Amino acid sequence: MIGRIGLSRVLTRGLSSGEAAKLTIQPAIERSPTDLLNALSETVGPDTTAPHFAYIDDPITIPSTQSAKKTYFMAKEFGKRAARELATEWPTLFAFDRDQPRLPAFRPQHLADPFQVDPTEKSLLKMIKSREVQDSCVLYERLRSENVEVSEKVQLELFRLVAYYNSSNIPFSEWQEWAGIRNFGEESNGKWKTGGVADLLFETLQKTDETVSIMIAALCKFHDSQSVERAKELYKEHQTGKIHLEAFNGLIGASSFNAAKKLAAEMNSLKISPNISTFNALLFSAAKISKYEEKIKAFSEIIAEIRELDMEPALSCYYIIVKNLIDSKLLDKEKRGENEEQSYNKQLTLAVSWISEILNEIEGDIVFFKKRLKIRIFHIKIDFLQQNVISEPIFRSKFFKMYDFSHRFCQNQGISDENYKNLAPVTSQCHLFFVEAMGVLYRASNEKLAEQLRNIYESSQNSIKMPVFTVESTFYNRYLQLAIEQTPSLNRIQELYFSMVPRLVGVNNSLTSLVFRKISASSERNWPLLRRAIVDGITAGQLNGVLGEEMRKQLSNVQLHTLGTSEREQYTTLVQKLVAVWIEFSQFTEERMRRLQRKLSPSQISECALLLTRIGEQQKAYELLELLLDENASSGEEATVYPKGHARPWAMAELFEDALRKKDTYGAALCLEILSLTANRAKLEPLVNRMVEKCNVNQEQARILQGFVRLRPQ
Amino acid sequence: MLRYLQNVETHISHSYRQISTTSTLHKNRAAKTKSTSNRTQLLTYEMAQKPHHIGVRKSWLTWHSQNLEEFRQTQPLVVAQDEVVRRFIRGFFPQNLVVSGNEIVIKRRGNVLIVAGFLQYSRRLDIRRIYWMFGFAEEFLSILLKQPVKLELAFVESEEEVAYNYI
Repeated sequence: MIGRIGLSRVLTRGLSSGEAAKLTIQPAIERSPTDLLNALSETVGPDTTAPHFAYIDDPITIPSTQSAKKTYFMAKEFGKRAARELATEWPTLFAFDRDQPRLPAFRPQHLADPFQVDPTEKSLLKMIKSREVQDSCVLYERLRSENVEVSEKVQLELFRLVAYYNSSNIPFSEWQEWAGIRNFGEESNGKWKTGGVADLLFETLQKTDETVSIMIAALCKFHDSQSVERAKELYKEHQTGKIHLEAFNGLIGASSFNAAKKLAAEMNSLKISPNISTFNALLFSAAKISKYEEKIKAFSEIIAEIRELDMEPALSCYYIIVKNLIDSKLLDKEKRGENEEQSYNKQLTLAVSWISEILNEIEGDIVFFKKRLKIRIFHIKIDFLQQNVISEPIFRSKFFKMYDFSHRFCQNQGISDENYKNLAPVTSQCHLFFVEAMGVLYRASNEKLAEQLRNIYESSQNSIKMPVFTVESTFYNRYLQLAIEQTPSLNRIQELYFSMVPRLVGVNNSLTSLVFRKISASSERNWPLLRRAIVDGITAGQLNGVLGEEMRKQLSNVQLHTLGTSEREQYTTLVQKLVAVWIEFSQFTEERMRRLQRKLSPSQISECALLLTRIGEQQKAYELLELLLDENASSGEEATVYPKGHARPWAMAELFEDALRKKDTYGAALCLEILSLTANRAKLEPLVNRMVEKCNVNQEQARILQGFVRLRPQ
Repeated sequence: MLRYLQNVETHISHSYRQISTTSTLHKNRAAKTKSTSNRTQLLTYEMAQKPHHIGVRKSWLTWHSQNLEEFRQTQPLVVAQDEVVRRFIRGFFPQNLVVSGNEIVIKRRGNVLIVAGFLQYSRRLDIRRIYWMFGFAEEFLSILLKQPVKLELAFVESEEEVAYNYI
């Protein structure tokens, strides 16, 4: 029934409104099949402040300092290695074999034992291929002792391996499976092992261009004075042949600059084209020049030479230059004399101008490549137009949409900015340029260039990345400290700090004290930043010592009336937490926990009491203050308070005033007693008078108070 | 109809009296939690919801595609794997278990097996040790099951934090 009435109403309205606006259906917007997906993907992105994926995603297990990051990462990796070792040792216990095809990654196996394997050339070759250097050496010795013939080809393979690695196992930096060891493992570049398998093989093998080159390169790679001499002798002996580029590179890097130039000339005469490693070696030898001006001149010449040969200097070239622009002996501020200060400033200025030039060069290249990309897209468009548009009228009518279409076409063809990453690693040292340059800019306090350097590093054109927990962290730490140092705005500091700590930069003492310094110096107030710095300080274990003192000072300086309701709650919680932690640290009096104990100092107690009073916890504050008057608390095995030091007079004065305001006779008397430990009679008398005046003190009490003061020294 | 009558008749003719020892076991006892006089029995959310709420108010403790049509070939394998994983986690983190490790969720996504749930740290908090154990457990289970295993176990301070109700 109702439906019928409704329908009749609609019909009547429809018939009566003849002038109703026409319903026009909008033409559908043309969209590609992936437009919707692109729109969706634009709404999400990487969270740069989230913890690294290597860590357990839980607040208590996310590390905030650099050392915690390393420890946790390594702990997890060692756990994995232990499991792998078990599976290698007892494979039958892991025989839940349902995988098809069989996955060798889940079946770890022991490395072949060189004393157990068949003494054949095949086993030796297998070991060489898996780069088990020392095992290969042992097996080779075994083959020789058992008189098994080893072909010259295999011997050459072995020689290549042992010479490259100096008869030692591969360095940590080349470990593929374990990222922790690869990044955190430290190794020194050892000296050449004389009389090892490499020397033996070199004597055995024929002296061809290749063997001599390998030997020279190896001697220069693991260089000491003797090995370099030997390499030079070998080079002289082999003048009749033509040694390879790598050997030249090694010799150049190990020689003085003048000798290196001669070697480069000889390369030229032998028609051997240099590569970036050659120029790196030349720069390395130029860095040994003792006279500063000549060194800089040599750097300029080498860069000009690279350009002359139509090559682009790699970032590793710039790294060597930037590293040597300031004399290492001038880097320590405390050891610099007055004259040295001048030359340091001069060198620093020069270094900054070099970096500026280098950055402009790199940025120019990026722009140039973007232009090249545009030109290429344009050519493709033209081709496409010629092929399709002219012949098909449908494209002609939609000519104005051509740009989008051709752009999409380019994407389908795999032509994008990604193909034009002009900053690609050439050598393994390229990434060090960023951190070295940032170090110089940090010294020079040049924020503008530091920002430019950071932009280049983060640009999509750059594919040179630093290892996350080691070098990259140093890079961002320097940048952050520089940026914070340079800006007066607390909001900017907050923005920078929140975006980088602790994901990119681990919490560290210098950074925290810098933030506190900036907060103290600024007239602005920024509670979120202060709170975050203190909370980070708690997780990073900075509560004791100077930073703990700074935290108390900062919290005392907070004007509570400027905070909102929720901020005041945060303040209360933070103070409660801090005081609880300090008290807990002071109570580790048991024998086994004593190394963790941090006794409360009288100044700390007075500051904590003040903070507790601010949040309305007077009772707790007085309990703390009582510790100052309790002799048992500062002596004996169970002591929780340092016997030395005094309560802060300003904190005690405020506590006394607070007690007077509340007419708390007990509190005021407690403060007076603590103040009497340091103040004389003249200072105490007015306090007693005020106490008598403000608090409800009876005659007897007043007499005791006055008697107490009279007994104090003048 | 007549056929049914015939059945009834045979049933009656063969019936004889016997002592029943199984009458109580006919009841459905699953997920029936016994309350205490002082309401000290902790119930997690998972415990508090009845079996018929699975898929409505709570979810499954194991996630895989072997219970779907045309996927059934390896269902027993999944059950075995689940048991292996659960027992391993229970045995490997005995100090950190919450409600005896009965609520570990096992999820399978692609070739990856993900172990989720809660652990507690009130008895001992040594984060380095936790990382070592996570690394060990992940690698051990990966090698055992021949597929990548990831732990997504979150931490609570004590078991009380996962309490939904006390009865």
